[in-house]
Amino acid sequence: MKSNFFNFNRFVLQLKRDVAIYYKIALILYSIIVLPFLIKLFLGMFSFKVLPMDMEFQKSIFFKVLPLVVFIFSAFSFRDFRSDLSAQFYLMLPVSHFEKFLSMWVIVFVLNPIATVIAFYVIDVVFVVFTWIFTKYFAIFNIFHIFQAGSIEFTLLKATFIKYLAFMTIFFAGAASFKKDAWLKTLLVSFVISFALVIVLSLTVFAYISLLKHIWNIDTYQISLAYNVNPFDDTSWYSQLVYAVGIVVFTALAYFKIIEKEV
Amino acid sequence: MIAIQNLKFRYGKQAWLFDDLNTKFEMGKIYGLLGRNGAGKTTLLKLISGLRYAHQGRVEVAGYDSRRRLPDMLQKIFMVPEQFRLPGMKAVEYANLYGCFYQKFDFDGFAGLMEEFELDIQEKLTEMSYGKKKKFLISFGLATNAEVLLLDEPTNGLDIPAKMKFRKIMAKSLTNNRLVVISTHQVKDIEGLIDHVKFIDKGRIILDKSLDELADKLVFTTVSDLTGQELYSQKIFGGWQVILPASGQSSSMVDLEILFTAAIAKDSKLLNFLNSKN
Repeated sequence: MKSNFFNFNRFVLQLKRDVAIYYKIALILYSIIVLPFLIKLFLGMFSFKVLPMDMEFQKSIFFKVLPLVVFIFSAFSFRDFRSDLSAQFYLMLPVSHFEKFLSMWVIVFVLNPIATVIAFYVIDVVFVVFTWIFTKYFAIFNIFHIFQAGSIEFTLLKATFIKYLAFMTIFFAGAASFKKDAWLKTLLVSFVISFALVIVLSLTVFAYISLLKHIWNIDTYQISLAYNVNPFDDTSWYSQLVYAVGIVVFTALAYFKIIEKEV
Repeated sequence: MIAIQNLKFRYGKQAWLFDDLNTKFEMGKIYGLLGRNGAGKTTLLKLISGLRYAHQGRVEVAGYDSRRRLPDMLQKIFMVPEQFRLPGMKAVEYANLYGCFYQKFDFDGFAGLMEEFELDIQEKLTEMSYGKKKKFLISFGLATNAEVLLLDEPTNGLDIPAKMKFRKIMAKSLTNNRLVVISTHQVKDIEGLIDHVKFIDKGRIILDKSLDELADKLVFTTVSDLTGQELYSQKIFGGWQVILPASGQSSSMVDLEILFTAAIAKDSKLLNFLNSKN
């Protein structure tokens, strides 16, 4: 007897169906985002402005373009929920809520980043071939060199990965929650919540510092030097903790939104 | 079987659409769920299929709580909604992609029904007219061999020959292991097809009878003058269309349209008569 929570065959069917529905939009998205970079590469090839092993360019692909692609894709996930007319068929597919959730999660968080990296790698290879054909210069433009750039880069890469995973999860949960203009509503809600949180946190810190200063007469300047807290430092443990909690909370939110969905 | 117990449902903070609704649908029958626009027919179908959640009460499909939308339950139910959006793929691609979700999906049966409806299996769904899409979905729904088939306004968008084909196909498809619920306000379209009616009005089932029972108890006829015996009368050209209590020996075809009009009339004598006979 098959489990009503998870069955591998059902999951594969759902994944197959979701890929069939999403691959066209994915291709369009990849093309739109990758095209400017491709043009820049080729223009650089002829003007020699983009030199082989241009690490800044490589980094911009990994830290700007790849997140952009995966963000957009996570924001456009759960396409069936954009309209009740398509959501009813999606919800009535004889597949469990968990399998529906997992299939979309795999597409957005696993297949999509892999496909994006492959797309860039293909660009890389194409660039090498074209450079050789037109300039007779064999350019080694391997984007994976970024992983070999030393421990500092890797730490940054890891921190960036967690940060982007958290933001992706927010957009993923937003796509599961909102019907129309999910990405825009997610942005607005995130902004409002972040703004409210910053105000609450600032007031809390202010109150704490005031307490230290006026009640216990402690030198707050010294404390601030000791606890040099920069909320925008992605590599700090507290930032990573916040992102990790965000990933768990918003992943759970996306799952429960599927369960409670009504059309 | 579908069992609805003490169902309470409303949209937002509006008045209760269903307030303590109790009813059931049995296997091997084609039910006509009839009612005016906004009576709650579509909502009831959505509650049965688990697309809407009841505020109170329970809706069971084949013994499963519909709100849990368990795969085992969803295997046994298919709904053809009134309004829908299909993906941009060919009919055959859709059948291949979605059919495998249903363990009993019959691809040959699907192709046969498509042919019977004069549809091209290679046609793109987004390029089909509304009526063609409806016929495609009915074919797909029947091919799933789901035990419970819910059809919401299935004849909307169908031309007259297609409506006849629809009736023929539906009548052919009924087995003892299948239950079909057809929700419509176009009662004429399902005459001769259904064997049980449920009239829904203001969130209540006001009439729940088999057509055989109605045919035994009522006579639908035309008279030139009224006698006062009529349960319902309606002026037509050259006389009156009436519903009379059956005297025992006479039997007539149930005219669903006049039956429905009589049932929703204020202080319906027809409903009083049928209920008192219970």
